[in-house]
Amino acid sequence: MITLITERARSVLHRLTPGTRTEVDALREEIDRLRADVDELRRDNLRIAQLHDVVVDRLAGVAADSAEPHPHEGGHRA
Amino acid sequence: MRASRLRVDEGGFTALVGRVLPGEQLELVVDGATVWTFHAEPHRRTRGLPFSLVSMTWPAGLAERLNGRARFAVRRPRGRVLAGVEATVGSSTAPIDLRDDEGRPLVVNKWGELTARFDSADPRLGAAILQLAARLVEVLEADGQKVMITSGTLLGYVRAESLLPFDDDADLAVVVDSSESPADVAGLAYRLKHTLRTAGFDVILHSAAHLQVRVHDLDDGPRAYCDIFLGFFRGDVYCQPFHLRDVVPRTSLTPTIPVAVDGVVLPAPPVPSDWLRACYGPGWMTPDPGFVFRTPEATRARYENWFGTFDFGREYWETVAESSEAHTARSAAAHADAVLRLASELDARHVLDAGCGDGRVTGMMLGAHDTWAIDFAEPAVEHARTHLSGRAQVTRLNLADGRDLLDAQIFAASATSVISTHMVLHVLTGDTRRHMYALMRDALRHGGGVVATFATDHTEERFAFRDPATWHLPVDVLADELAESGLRIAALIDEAARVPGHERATATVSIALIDTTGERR
Repeated sequence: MITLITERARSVLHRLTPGTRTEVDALREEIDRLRADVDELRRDNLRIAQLHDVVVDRLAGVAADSAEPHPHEGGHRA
Repeated sequence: MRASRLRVDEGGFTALVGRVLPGEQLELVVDGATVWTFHAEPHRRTRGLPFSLVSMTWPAGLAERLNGRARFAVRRPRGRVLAGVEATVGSSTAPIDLRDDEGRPLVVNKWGELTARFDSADPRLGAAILQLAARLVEVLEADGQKVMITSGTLLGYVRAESLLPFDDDADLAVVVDSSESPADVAGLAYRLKHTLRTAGFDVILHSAAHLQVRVHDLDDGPRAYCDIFLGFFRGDVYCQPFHLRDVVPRTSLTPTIPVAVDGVVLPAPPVPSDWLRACYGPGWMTPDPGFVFRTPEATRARYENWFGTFDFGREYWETVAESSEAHTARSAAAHADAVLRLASELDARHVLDAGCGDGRVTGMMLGAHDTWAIDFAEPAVEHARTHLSGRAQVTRLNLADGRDLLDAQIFAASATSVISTHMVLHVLTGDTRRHMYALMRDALRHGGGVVATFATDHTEERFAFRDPATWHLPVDVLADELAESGLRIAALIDEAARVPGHERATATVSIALIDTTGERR
């Protein structure tokens, strides 16, 4: 997705030349879409952290419930 | 002074005063007490003239309490009154009361909310706050974190080796210098939440970079708060949500040095002025009770998306829950009946009541299934635990936080579940409502069901963003939002009109999936 956003941003850059009002409006809309996609990409940081936390949390629960815990299994809740 | 020079109404005030410079600090005095310190923005057309026209909109917290009669005045800090008037605002003619439940005078803080003036607070509060901060530092350092005092606590130390006279909490920062990734910082916030809870602290997340620790009823005394912010570097730029994003030398922050704040030893950055300048600007040394953060959009967009905002309206809902009276909404019976019927039809093992409030409606939905009641307002959870007395599991869970949402989703997907949400959907912000829809989808995909009751119209008061009691969700708007989330209204179970002064207009619906093949089921 990062590559795609970068390519789209480059494409906008190349199109930044004087044009008709319609063309300028189209560029503005594309920039707005890019900004929204960048924000969405930023939100993925949070989603990854949340998923990681829930996995570690559940892993600790599984380890605690397990009769013979694996010697290498860890997790910050252990 | 001529009274006619100050006009006040429900929206704000307009004052015609002697010359005031743009940004000059002024105070609003209500019945002799300074309530709000602000920076004046004189009308452009009066700039350069020997008089100024100053118009200000009430901060949200103050606007909510201005209903009645009082003497208003605008003055320079502790100086001469520039304009004043005796006036009535709103529908009441009773004296305006700007004190909290304990009779302490309230002032507008930097968030535009009303808070008890620190110098009027319980004298034990300052000591309690600093003791809490010291205990937190101990736990965090034992966990291997680099901790320092920050924000108002750092400012107070630098100015007077004391808490600021108008501050009501302590501020700590955990400085992460091992990673530039916001995902790692957010991950650390969740880990620290567990660490601090394990150590016995009451922790909430305002975002995945801002924790708040609260100590309730300190020896029957005041509540003490401590904010913990996570800061990290991206290149040379130090980022400390929610506001700071500027170049700060790493050596100005760590290693920390021990300092004494009101006699309590806490870690401080070795060059505090670098942090303070980056956060508050070059004038940081001059006391400014009217200071407000003006966070650049580029910074706000980064922090809100990297770390979320989880606690919109929490204080409002905690206040509502604290004052909860034995009132069960008219819609409760129809809602509970629909949930029980659906749970029976589906042979559901779980009922999850999302936004249980005081638990009275949850109590009407108990049955052969396991019931899990969740709410993000602590007083609501306490009421629900008392009311349900072990007949249902009650947990403080915040669906605005995607981490808590995952716990609810796992529960809903682990067995046939019915999601119940009574008088909640209409008071959620857009992001949190989408989280709720994700939870519904998970329940439905695993053979479960959904019953939702919500207010469909505003109250007698017109809709006002600052007043969640007026928020509402028309059925057609819900239908549109559901469609975007792959959901649809399956049946309109109950609908009730507004009864002025008593009941809101409500609808109870069941919700189903829109099949991806286009078939409806």
